Amino acid sequence: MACERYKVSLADAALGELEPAPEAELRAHLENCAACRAAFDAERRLVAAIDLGVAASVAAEPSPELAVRVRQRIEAVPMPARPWFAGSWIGRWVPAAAGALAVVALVNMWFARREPARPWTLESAKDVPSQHYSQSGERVPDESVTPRVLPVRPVGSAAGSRRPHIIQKVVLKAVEAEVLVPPGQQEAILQLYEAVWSGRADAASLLAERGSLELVALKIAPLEVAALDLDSKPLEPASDH
Amino acid sequence: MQELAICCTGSVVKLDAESTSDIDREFELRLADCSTLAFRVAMGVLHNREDAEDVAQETLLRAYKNFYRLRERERFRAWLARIAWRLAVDRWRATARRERREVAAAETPPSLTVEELATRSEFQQHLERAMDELPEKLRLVLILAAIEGHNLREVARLAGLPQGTVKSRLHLARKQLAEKLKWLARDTKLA
Repeated sequence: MACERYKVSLADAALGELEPAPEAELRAHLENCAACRAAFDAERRLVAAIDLGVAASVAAEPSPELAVRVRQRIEAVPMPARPWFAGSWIGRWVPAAAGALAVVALVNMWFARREPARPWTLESAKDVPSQHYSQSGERVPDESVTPRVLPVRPVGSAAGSRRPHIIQKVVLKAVEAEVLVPPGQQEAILQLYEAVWSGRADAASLLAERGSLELVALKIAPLEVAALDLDSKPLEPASDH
Repeated sequence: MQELAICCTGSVVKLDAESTSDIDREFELRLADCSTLAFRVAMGVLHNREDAEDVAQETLLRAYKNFYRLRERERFRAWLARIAWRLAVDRWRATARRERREVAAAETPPSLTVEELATRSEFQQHLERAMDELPEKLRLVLILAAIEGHNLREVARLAGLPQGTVKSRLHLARKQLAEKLKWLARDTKLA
């Protein structure tokens, strides 16, 4: 039984892969240890047998008929049509140019489909201030609210995108009466909602401008028509020239 | 316009401007020597002469069909070796699957033919089985290095790997084989 300390070194030395310093130490040990010497000899014989066996597995020569069979098959199979530029300098550059064009086309497609960064935000229910408007137009905080979570689906160009998108859930606090959105206006309402929550639109300024949304009547000065003089001579018919 | 081509034996052959007949002639020059390379790579994987010749035949046919696409003709040997390797491994996998099915279906495992038993020692059979169990990247380097005339640099060229990588993979392959066959060395006396 070889010494435990030198077992790995014995295997590596038999493979001829031991570093000089460890090999010198092993050689010195082998001079004094018969068990390690026997183990080392066994490892060397095994490695030699392996090398010989592997060489034997690939040392065979093919039969003379192989080349004949290959020629017969080559002659029997019709040569595939080679492009006219095969073998010429064009043949070297056409594939590279086609590849470059394909890459450019892919990059253009990627940029065209890429949607602008959308500020997805997720608010927790308790952080969302909820309020409604009284009859006088003042903002009144909600006293009793029912938190509801509604899924907000991507809109616009992302709606039809095949890329996986994250459906963000926005918490809405239900007020006494829910606003019914007219058909076709849901997307606009959702975008406005998102713009307000993300800070892109200032809700206060939007509301402040409400009061100024009054139509100014257009002032049109009345026409001044001279009074009709009934005492004047009757009009003579215009003469033809 | 003349081009130089280096065929498998290493001699330089002058060719006229490329034409189909030129390509065929150039391929023909390489055929004799390169068929041996393809066969030996296949033998290293399949350990069976008939299968190895089939794979070598298929390899050379594919190489012929695609020869005009090979721009760097000096890389022909490496290119051919890789085709042979891939075809041999695919065939080996298919054969291994079929044998596993047969073993599962049959009551007794399939045995080697009389001729195969007579020509292959017990150690060689175990060695080939151990080679089959090696990871592919180690087995490729081991087989290429075992082919006569291939030094480390040639193996690196054929495998398309740095010499250091070839050396370390070769060492690892031999080490793993030694580990697998250590029990055999204990039971039998190796000369």
